[in-house]
Amino acid sequence: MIPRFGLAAAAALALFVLLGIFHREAAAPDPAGALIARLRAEGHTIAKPRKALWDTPGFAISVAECPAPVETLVFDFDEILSPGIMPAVQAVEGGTLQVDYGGQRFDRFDRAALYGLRLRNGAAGLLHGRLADPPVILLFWPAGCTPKDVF
Amino acid sequence: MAEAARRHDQSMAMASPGWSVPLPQFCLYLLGILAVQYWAGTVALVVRSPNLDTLERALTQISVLPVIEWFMLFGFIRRLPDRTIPATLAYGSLALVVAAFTLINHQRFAFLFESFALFLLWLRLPDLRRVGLVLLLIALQRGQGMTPLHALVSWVDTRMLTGVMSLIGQPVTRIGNLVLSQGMPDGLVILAGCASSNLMLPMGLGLMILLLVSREQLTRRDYEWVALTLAVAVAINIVRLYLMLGSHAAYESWHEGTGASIVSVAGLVVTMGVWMIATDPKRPLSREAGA
Repeated sequence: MIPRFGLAAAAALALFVLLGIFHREAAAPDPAGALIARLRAEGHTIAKPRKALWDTPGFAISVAECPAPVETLVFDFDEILSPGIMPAVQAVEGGTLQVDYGGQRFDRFDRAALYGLRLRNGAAGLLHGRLADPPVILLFWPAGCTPKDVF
Repeated sequence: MAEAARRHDQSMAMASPGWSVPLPQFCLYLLGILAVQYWAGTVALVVRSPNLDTLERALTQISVLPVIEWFMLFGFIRRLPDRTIPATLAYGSLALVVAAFTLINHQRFAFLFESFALFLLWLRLPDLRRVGLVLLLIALQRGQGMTPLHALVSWVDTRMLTGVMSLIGQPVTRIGNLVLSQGMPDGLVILAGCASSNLMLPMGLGLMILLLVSREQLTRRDYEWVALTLAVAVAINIVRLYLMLGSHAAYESWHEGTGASIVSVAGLVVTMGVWMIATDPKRPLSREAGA
């Protein structure tokens, strides 16, 4: 005879399997690709980045009034938050930094604010069944032009 | 304290049979569900592989250590005493697991949450406390939500790597997490994914799990073995990072090629080796008991 707790556990297992069968996670999005497609649709000119940076997705975007394209890097949140990453990136790229994360823009790399935003996104994602973590987009504006809203 | 725990045990054992669940039976069924939840993602990845290349990649992602840990955990619950636990605790634990895997979409986070909640729930029960702790360690071992730790460790790793290179007379320049060397003049950046903690977590926690399921009580010597394993994990990763700096080909190999597989196997061999030495019955046991 199957014990009563065993029956309850079997029912829970059946529920887990059924949830798994009817649940299909969306394919991982390509944030850089999606961003490029959107910018192209808005009429921006996208070019290859000046240099590839450690396999990190990046591109250059032409902005009116800027003498050179704006270098853009699309970082995983996981990768950018180490205290040593930003000095390394800035040493390579130069220019004036602008940070975009989840639609919010910062004119400096504010680690605490980024963590706060991510925690809020994570909590909302857990409850809504979507854990998509937006990328951290770094824009390096060349000398001679003022950072402004691009996205 | 010990007397109170004994009285608590006796009261559990004397609980009415209609309102209690045998402890080994409870653990077997509940851990069965948790094991299915733990491995479901891996199974789905293998089953849904559209071609052999994807299947091969999926299979290489399966770590051997968790397989051994789960096997040993099931062996451990078979050795639990024939007591009973209150039905409210048994069904409450089951309800918690069901609520978590239903409401939390991402099953890795659901498993982490369940393990933490069950660990807290079972903390006062001597027989279940260790099962809860092992479950929590298995969940933590995956490194889910550990990004801040990896980020911090990658920062320390970069300093250790450049320090070691300077000590052995290698020309090296560091800018933040960027390391410039003769082999990699473009530089190598140590990202969170390359941090030693990615090796320390499976090795250190893996050894802790193996010791917890094979010992009555952990001793001070056991904690020393864990500390030694963590140090070896850091050393392995620093050597790997140093080798990555050799050339672009070396970087590819040690980052995600054959070299990366060698590092995984080395981690497994060290963990299992240390566990075998630590639990060797011929070795004298330290008398100072810990957890």
